Amino acid sequence: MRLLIVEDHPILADGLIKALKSADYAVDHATSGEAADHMLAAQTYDAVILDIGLPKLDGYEVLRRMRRRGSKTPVLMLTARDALEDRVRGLDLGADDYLTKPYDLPELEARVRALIRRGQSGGAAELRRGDLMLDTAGRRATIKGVPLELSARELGVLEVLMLRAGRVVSKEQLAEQLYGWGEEVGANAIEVYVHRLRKKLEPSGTGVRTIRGLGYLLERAGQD
Amino acid sequence: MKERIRTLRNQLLLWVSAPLLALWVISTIIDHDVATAFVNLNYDRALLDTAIDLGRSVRAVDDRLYLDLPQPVIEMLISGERGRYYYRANGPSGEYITGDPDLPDPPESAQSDRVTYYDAVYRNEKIRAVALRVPVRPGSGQGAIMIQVADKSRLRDDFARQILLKMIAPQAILVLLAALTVWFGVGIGLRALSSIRGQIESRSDLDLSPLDAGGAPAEVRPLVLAMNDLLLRLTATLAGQRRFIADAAHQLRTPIAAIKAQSEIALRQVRDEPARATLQQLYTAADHAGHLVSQLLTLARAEPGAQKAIERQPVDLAALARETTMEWVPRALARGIDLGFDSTTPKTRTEGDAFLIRGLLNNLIDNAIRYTPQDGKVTVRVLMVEHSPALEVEDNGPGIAKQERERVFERFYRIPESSGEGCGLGLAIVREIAEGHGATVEVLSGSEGTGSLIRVCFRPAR
Repeated sequence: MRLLIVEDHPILADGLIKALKSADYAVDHATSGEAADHMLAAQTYDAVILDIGLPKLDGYEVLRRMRRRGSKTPVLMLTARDALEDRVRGLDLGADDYLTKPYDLPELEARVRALIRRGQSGGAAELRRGDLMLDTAGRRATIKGVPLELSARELGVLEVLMLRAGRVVSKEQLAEQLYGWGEEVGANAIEVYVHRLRKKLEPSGTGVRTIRGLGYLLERAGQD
Repeated sequence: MKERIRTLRNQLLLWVSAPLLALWVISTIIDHDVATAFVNLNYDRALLDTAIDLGRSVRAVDDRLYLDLPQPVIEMLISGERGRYYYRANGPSGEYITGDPDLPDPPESAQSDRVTYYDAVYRNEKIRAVALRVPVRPGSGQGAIMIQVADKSRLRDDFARQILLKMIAPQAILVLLAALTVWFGVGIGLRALSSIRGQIESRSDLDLSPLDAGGAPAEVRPLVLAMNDLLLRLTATLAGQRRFIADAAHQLRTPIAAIKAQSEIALRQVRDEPARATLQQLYTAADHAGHLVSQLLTLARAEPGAQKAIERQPVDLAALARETTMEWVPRALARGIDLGFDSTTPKTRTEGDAFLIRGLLNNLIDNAIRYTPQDGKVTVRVLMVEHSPALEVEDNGPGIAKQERERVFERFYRIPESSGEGCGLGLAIVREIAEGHGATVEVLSGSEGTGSLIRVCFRPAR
């Protein structure tokens, strides 16, 4: 896995490089937009971490040139500005994600992992969470390799929860997902599916937590 | 001493009424003289006529002179319509003939002039008298009889006073009317000013847009224009200041990110416990600095003049609050806090800047999570409070003492001995944003008797 970090602040760049190298990525570093542009033209990366505020050629321009060359390399933008317009502009130009400074390293690392995964498979076929594994293509789930008996709707609920692991999923979002199978699903029905799913997941150590008035959340068990 | 406030109305009233009153006084003095002269002329003529009548009735029999007064003349003398006349007739050598013997003598000049008017005092009353010299027999050289006729001056004064009153009363009314006209006229003229005052009073303190000078009269227009010019300069100054804060905050973010990243990496590498403790402190401090910077940015955005006015977009409070609360759930869970949401009303639309309202709610939730101990409960609620859509954030933490409930909104104020590591800007931002939206913020006690409940009541959408 080869990453490019484009960051002009030497101490911050040094921190990022150390962190990502220790996670076994090969890391290149550019301190200016021009250098980054040259490196991106010459070499293929698995992901780019791109600061917006760069001297001369800014991050937006680097991104624009990259996409103009037809590169599909996932880009995580780093910005010191949190104004909505700045984010929208970055995403419109083809950034895949953004982080506002200052951020926590684990957060950055998680985003990078997600980016690379997305870049590789165009949506992971296998979602893992501790002992729990969901094969979205084969539509089956296992705990420690033991197949889990799930109905199509329970599987649908699990998929949504796993895709958004660590975040809250509302009943409406679940209902919308299940609606794809052809019938209207009420809030009460969702509660039933979640209840059954929770029981079946018990051996995996992964729990479905009910968040008052908001929905459900797949609790962190094991790493992200 | 209370300072006297100078009002335009009082000043105008003073400057219009004072000269009018002075004119009125002068005119009264002149009127008095005119009235007195007129009355005197009139009465003097009557006195003289009477004297002439008396003169005509002088008779001489055997060198004895007497007045043959016809009855009507006597009656007139005693009880004329102008009251009693006094009279006396003296012979050529001053001998008394008839009438009131003690009537004061005329002045010296009366001995040579035919007719002399004079004032005197008779029986303790002021009188006006005429002395008329009538020859005993014209051309005979027998000398002249001196006839004096007098009436009481008081009668004249009364009459003159009546005339004067009739003259000055309408003038007094005129002065009064002028004062009233000024009083109301100024009020009407100043309506233009009060409409401008209304414009200024009704606007939000975030609104620094120019005043409407359209309806203002030519005299007030320059004032409005000057005010608008000031507002414009103020906007520029504030914008400059805000830009500086924003730029400074943005510039700070990169080095803070660097400190955080480096201390996190060091924490992963270092095994020595005391060193790890120090690194952890370093990381925490950097984290605080980062939080502070974000708060400053929100504050800079919420402050007056950040936009022309707060952008009044329709905002669905319930949807916004639900979404924002969802984002906070992972952080709340990490702190062992049960964060929930509750919305009981379908009518939750208000108007405002969604970014700022989100900032407001972020700060309320952040505060609640920070100051509520582990296993605590925080609830975000959207409801109607007396026709106003309201946001509530309730926790079952230590609560806020009554005497602190106003102070917690001050910038950088922190409740003494409170736990948590907030920077003291959170609630200041909440209030700033609320005020900009015409919303009210109150701190209440939690519904279960413990904890605090902060309620923000918004204006309903028009």
